[in-house]
Amino acid sequence: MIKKPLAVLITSILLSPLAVANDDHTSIERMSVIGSKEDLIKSTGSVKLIDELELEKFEYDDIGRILATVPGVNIRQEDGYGLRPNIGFRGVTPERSKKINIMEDGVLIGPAPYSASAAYYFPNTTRMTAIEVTKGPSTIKYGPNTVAGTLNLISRQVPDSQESALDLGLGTDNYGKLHAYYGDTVGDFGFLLEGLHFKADGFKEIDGGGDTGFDKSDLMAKFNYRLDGDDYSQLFELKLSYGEETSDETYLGLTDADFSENPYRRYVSSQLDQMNWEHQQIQLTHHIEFSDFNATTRVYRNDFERDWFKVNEFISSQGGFVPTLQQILRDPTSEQNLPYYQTLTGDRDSTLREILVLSTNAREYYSQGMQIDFAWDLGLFGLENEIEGGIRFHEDQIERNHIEDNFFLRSGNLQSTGEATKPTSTNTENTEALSIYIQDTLQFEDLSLTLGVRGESIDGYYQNRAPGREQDFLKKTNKIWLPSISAYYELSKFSGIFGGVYSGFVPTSPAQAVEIKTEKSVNYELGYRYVNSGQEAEVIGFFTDYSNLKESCSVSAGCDTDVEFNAGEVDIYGIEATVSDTYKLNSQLSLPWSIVYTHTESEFKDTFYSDFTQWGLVNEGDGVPYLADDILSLSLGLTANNWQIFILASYSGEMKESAQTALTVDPGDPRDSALAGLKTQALTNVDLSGSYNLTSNSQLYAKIDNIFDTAKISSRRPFGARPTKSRQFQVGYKYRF
Amino acid sequence: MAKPFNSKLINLVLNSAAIGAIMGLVACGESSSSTQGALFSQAATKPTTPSNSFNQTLLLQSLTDNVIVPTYTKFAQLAVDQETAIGHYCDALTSQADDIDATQISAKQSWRDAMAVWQIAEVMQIGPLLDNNNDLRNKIYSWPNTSACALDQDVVLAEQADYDISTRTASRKGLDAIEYLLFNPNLDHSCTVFGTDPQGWNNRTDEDRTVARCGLAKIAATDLVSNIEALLTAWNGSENAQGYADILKNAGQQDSIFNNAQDAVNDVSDAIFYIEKFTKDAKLATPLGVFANDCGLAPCAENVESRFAYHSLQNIISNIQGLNMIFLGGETDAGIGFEDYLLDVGATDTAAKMRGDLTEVIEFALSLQSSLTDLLVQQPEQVQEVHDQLKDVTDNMKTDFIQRLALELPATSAGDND
Repeated sequence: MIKKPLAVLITSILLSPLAVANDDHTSIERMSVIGSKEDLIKSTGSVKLIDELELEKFEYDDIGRILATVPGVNIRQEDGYGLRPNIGFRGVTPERSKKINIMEDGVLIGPAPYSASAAYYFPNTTRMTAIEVTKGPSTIKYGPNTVAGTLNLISRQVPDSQESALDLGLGTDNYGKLHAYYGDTVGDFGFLLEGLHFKADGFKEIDGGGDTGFDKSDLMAKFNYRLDGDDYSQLFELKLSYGEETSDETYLGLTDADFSENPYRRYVSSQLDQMNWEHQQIQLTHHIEFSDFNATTRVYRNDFERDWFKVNEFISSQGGFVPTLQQILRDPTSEQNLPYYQTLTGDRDSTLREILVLSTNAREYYSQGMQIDFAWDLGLFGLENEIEGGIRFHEDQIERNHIEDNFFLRSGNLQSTGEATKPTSTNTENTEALSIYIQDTLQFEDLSLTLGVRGESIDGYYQNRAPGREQDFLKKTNKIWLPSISAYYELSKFSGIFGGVYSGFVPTSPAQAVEIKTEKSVNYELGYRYVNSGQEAEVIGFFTDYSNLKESCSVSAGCDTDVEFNAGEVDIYGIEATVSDTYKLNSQLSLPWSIVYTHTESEFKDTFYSDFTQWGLVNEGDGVPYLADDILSLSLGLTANNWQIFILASYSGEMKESAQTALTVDPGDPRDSALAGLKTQALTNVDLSGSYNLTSNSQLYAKIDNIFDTAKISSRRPFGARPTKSRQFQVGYKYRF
Repeated sequence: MAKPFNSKLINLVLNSAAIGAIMGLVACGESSSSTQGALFSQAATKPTTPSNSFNQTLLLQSLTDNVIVPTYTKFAQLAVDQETAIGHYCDALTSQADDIDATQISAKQSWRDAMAVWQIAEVMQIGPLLDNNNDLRNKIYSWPNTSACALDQDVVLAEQADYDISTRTASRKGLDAIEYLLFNPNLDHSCTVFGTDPQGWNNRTDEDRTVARCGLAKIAATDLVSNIEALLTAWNGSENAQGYADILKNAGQQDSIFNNAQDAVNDVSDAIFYIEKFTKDAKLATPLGVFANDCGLAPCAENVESRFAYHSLQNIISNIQGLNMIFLGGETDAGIGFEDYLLDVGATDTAAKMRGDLTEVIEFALSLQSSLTDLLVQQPEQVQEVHDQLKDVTDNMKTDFIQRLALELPATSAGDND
């Protein structure tokens, strides 16, 4: 047997659920997670790979900006930096990316993907070397959420030989980045050490002063050991990582009028708001590979702890009606709301009726388990079969220890009322899940047919830990099988049509009563793909037929804690298209370009009322919130041997803030969604970047994000309008040893 | 050598059929099961109505006919008396008659009389008073959502012929508005935010400003009469609409909006928890400094309910008396009240404790000889004692009372704020 290069072997680990590594692919670059782009050609579903070269074009730290070049991705921006991204695929709610599977190196990386799917932790994309987006029938291999897709982030691999690099960046608002790694393989032992720190003072301005930025750090170490036999390759790898963030972030936005005057303003009442988190990961991987079979076993443990101290609401010591922050900011000048608005802005001192509540939503999470994925090429019944399968034992938990403190806002400063800290949510949600999947790709002449099924058995346990609430608990079990069928028909060596049907599913969290149904859908896609010598074109039509759409309302959406709601039947359908090519101007200069477009439509099939603040009074035919009809990105580059320039223009249409299309007329319905009839603003953003290779080892780069300094309302949730990122300049220097 | 096409096709079909059959077996959908604790909130089954011979409908009939409607009716008459008294006072002011002082005293007394009864009704907020986010209740009495500055603005606006109080917000009308207009000795406006003050107000003479305030008080008194009439109509019914009294008394019967009589009893129970959230917490704990007030965490006379009329203690007493009437079934225990329900389910200890605690706190509060404002300054421990005694009542309501009668606690009372 030919001994495989380490990079190929690691690639096999990263893609092991995806395909059997082919010895013919020994030239596979190590950043690839799918084997090679050639493998994408015949994929029976929608898979997009963003490799390291692509990632380095713009040096983005924000996954939202990176995914602008991927069709079928809908994003709601929030803080501008992408600290806590909101990502959806094919029309699913982007809220805290809770309906997609987020993985790092093939392992679920959300804080507690089953028990509390809101991704308050998202890996730093700055240290990633590839990103893989899977939509459509291929999603059946991942879980628990199959309705939308999977985002797999690939961290740096242990190099074959000594390799190190340094990246220094500086920019607007005291942006700074220091990123370095060093790795080597000596004999059968390899290692990698990587560190990343970046920070900014923030582009928003708090009345009265103060930072609005962040400090983030990541450390990662990987150690591997190779133990090959005569007939197989084998690798053991240990991965250890630590991450932390301190960010002066808030949920408090602005009134529309204040936004028009200065979109980057922050009211003084948000002066103490701050998020702190820490994340640790340990992962042990074993990979063994024979000529026609490979298996990867991963044992993992992720711990995440966060405290977010932030203004949450007003209360009155005299009781009575107190408007929500959302109501105040939507109608700040009404007689009822004006005193509260003036208190928020510091124009008026608090009385006992305008006490600000700052909540500390402290949560501890863990996520651990073991998963085995295998791929096996074999002939069966006289046909070429490529069988893939896997099993995962997973447990995760969220422990909430939420507390609240009351403050007066007086003389432009928040002052404690002196009242004792009050516990609010004190509970635990835990899930133990067993997942299996198996799929077989049959090759018949020009037709590849893939049949698969995924099974999830989920045991959830909720316990209120507040004193005297021992009997407030719920244990529940949910089991489901999710079949999938897809096919690719090769029209020529360079093109083919593909399509598939599969079951979409999103489980409920352990605290939700059994009356809250899981989300289920039947998803369809049909597409055409052309790939030839750098020319790529793909167009896919998709249709998601929900028998029940479920949404969970977290604090970011305006709820006290995670509560889930059902909407019944909903249709979401659309088209996503990509065209890209590289035009050679001469032997020195090339002009790479791409166009990515997504059009999505949605409609509720029932008329109903929901307490879910993003729905309200819904009429049949209304569209789902936070889904732009049209998303377009145009990328153009000019590259030479030692320099390159890229420009990326992206457009995202306006989005409904609420499914309800308008507030009910006088006297109004108390069940109205507060943001009924409002939309986020359409955003056209243009980013420019360039780099120059000083030597074969060193590079200077510079970039401008949002060169026209466009400021639009990204969302009015949970409390008022917040802007997209302002214009940012950055310069940097890279050196590779 | 490649196999013949037909052979491959057959194999493909066989493969597909085999896997399809497996998928068909497993793709049968979803199954789920659960067990939950007795206190699991989101799916908590409603408490089972106690098995006994007690007739909840009789309780509802008694409370409707002997307590709630009579209280509203009594208040309606006092509102008319108040309208008359304020009218006389305003006339005296306008004509500079000799009896200005006497008519002023009479007008103020009419407000106190009406307020004392309305505070009894405050613990009876059920049905029409709660519709449209408590619209009618707030029109009659909007505390704590009051605005002195808004009233100052409307005093000036009300001097215009086209002023229509019915279109104004709740904080510009009702008993709280009349209190400010009749009792506030400071004739300067209360607006503190630039641009909100009524133009030229502080430059007007005292007499002029007194007349202007009385003018709005008179309009508000008339408006109050029409609002309480609307409330009575809603309860007593009209040619076209069934009265809420009938709806409540026939709860759970055919075509009722209530599934059963116990649900309606639970609505009455929700209403009497006013005594905890407002009477104990907002009217006592907050000015005492148990909760943050404008003085921090110290006694704060500025934050009492009726600070202009010095009527706060009487309001509290009325609230507790209102609760007592619901408990007894009337001013005496001749009618059917919650006490009878408790006795019927065998909760004699709970019934006795509630009766004892209620009697004790009413007697103690009545024994206090100063206003709440003065007590907070001079004898805050006495106010604390009222609070503590009332807490005995509310603690019992939140535990034994609710559990023995299988009632659901209102969400706002689920925790203990203090």
